[in-house]
Amino acid sequence: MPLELKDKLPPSRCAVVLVDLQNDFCHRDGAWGKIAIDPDLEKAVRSIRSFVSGAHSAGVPVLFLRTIYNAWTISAPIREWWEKLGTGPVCVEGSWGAEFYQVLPSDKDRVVNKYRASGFLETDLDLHLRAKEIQTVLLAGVGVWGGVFETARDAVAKNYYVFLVEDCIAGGKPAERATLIDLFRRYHGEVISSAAVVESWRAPK
Amino acid sequence: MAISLKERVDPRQAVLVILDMQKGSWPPRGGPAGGEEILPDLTLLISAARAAGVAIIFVRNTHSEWTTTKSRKEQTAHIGVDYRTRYWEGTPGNDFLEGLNPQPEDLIFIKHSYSPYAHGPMDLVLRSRGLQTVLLTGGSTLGAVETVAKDSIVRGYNVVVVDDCVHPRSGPIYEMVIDYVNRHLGITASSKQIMDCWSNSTR
Repeated sequence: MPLELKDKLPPSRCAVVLVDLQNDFCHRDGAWGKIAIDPDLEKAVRSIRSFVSGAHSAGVPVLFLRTIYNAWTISAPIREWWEKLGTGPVCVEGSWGAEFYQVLPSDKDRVVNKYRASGFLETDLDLHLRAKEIQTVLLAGVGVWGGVFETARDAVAKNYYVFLVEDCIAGGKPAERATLIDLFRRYHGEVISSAAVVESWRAPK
Repeated sequence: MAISLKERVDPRQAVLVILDMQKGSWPPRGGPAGGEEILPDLTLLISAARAAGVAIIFVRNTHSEWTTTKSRKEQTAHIGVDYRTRYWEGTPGNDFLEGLNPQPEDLIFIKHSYSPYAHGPMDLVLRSRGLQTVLLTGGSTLGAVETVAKDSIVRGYNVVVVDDCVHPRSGPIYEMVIDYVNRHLGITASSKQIMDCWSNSTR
């Protein structure tokens, strides 16, 4: 029998995973920002701030996934891909572009590096979630078809309950984003608002 | 057809991997003291690798509350020790031993268990750089070196265990691992044999 929403969202078994909130993806002078800025980005950033604060109040761990490329992980196909996209190198280790955009991790949050679109590909994200016995992953951030979507689908494959927190997701063209979120809702996991999640966390047990 | 040592350690496709040579790693719990005993040979090998243009990865074993599972806590309780290791994240024990001197072009690779393949981009790094042979050093010989040798060959990499640059480098466990590596996982060679290959290579 499917779990009820409140049983999927107990604060002790949830983690918030924020994807790619970095200058190269978000700032208008960033590698991606130069070619495409989502008009809804600032609205999503405001929602993320408030969602993170709700997670902190409920004692839910917040993990900041950060894309890092360096001389050890950049390959010929990756260079070709960047060239085709017109972005040039993205989130190069130590650069301004790799730094967090607006929402910064606090002492109680954890930064997890990733090296490709998915937060699970050869990273320690899964170990972090297992160590805390997490059952439900709440995803927010930027790059719907890249970081958010690939991480979301891998989280589903790894047996987590997965929610896209819709108002905390930005990146890409609004119509494409709506389509991808709808595809996720239909075929992969669940979509929810940050208000509904925070309300569930606040509800008396 | 077996490839020669010289082909295996070719600087264009070999990577020197230094496992867990940290202040808090030695002496390992209940084990023999003195990972420092391999430092003179290891630092010579590192210098020779650098001179030959061989890629170098320093693997740093790092544990924290964020990465310690319940099963690991159970296991440390089972043997009656604190799960907060002597090389715990953010403590001086996590630092590399003096004399290793990683350089900016080297990769510092954080791992959270025996194998760097388990929770980090080891395979991705080796592929992205076109590396094909791992030269394994550091310790412990059974815990880390043997595990990485296994995890490397199953992913398609050639393995060379540097038999005088692992710790411990004598005793029954060492003999067993060296024999096992030679039969199933790769080859073993001394640092001198490897450095001879590099100094004779025409670059």
